[in-house]
Amino acid sequence: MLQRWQQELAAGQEPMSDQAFYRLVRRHGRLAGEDEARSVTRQVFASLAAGLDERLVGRLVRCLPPTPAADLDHHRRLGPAAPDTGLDRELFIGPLVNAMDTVGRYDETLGGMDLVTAYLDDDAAMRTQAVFVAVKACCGAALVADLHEALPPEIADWFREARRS
Amino acid sequence: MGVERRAKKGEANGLTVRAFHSPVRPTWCPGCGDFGILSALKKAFVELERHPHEIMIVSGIGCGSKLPDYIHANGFMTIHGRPLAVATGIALANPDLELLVVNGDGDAYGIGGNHFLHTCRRNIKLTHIVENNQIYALTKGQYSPTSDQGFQTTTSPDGAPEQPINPTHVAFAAGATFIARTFAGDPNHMVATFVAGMRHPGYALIDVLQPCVTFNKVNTYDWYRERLAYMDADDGYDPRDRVQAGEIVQEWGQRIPVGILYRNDEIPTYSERVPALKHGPPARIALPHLEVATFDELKGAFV
Repeated sequence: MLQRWQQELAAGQEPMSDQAFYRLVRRHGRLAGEDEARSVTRQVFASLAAGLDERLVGRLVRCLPPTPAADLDHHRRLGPAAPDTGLDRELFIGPLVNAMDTVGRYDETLGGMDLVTAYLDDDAAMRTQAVFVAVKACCGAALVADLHEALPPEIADWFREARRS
Repeated sequence: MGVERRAKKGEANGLTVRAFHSPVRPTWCPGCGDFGILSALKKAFVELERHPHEIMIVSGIGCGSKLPDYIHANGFMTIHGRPLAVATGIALANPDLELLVVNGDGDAYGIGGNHFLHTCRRNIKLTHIVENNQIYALTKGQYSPTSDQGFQTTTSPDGAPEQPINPTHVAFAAGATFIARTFAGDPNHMVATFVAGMRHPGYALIDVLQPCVTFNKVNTYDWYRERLAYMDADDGYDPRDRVQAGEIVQEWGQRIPVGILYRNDEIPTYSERVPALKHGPPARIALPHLEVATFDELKGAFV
């Protein structure tokens, strides 16, 4: 069943702007600003482009506001020709965690850096879902269903549960 | 020649990645490239119809060297830099095992650099998977032999002063007979490369570009993706052509070649050239004259 905002969109509302898209990502991902929202979006798109069929990615590109669309299209060109069937949760969040703050201060014992990555699992999931909220806000119900169907199982769960608050 | 397979094709039917699942939960960081390598390795074993008891994985010290704990197969975690030396002994003693060495760039090319060179020229029958994240990660972020010049870490605050090792070039110069590179963010390509390496009748080096999500913020998933050149997709490239390969194995930087970069299946393995093994490896030699008392006496000498 379509949610109210999806019905409004389907009824011919104005396409979403870049700012509105990143505002959604920022709010749901509890991010500091638009720059961070764009960075998070780019990383999630890198994984989407690797794990989804090129035509499906193309359909998604056409639904997105200009800047996110250009970023996803960029990753579509870099990604494999066929969806990578080995993509799982860890590989999906890899690019995102790679771009997060993962170390703290100098470690006091071994001369290395204190790592905080161990605690970032939930953060990565929340940020991924924040992008999914914005993506779903741009797509019609048919594309949402197709994306859900095509994503690896655990990522599909995150996608299904990503809801606008 | 090469590994003799105990399992006939039909006996391996029904083998799935589940057979390789270990109850031990990986302690790698979320999103670590090592997860992809582990997963691809299991799939490669299934594709080759290799059962857990037929496999031996030898590792050293480091994040990636924890892999034998996370897979249901025989494992041997050695000291830092020494897995190739231990694996050489295993290869000579029991060539029926599907033998792999899995370690990081520090273990393989730094601490174990000497063993790396000599394993290449000896052509020991094993598959060497190097999880190359261009940093020492388990010790929390120091520059490694493959870190690019200028790379800033806790031990190189002004940037790494020296030139990095290019492992594919070193392996080529040292006489390796199979040299490949793949990317931890590309699972399907990894599986195909691992399978090809294990099928190679000799030493197979597979250098895996493996982003360290925590300590390496330069060589990221994005950084690699923008530079990868898939040689398998290049019809004009023949990895058996030593002249072509000699150029490709040196490339690093704006363009990073991945795929099988060089192969020569004609070179005999070390085991085939050692006279002491002409009657077969120790694991296949029966000991008909060894009485229990003699065996106990022998055993006693080591206790």
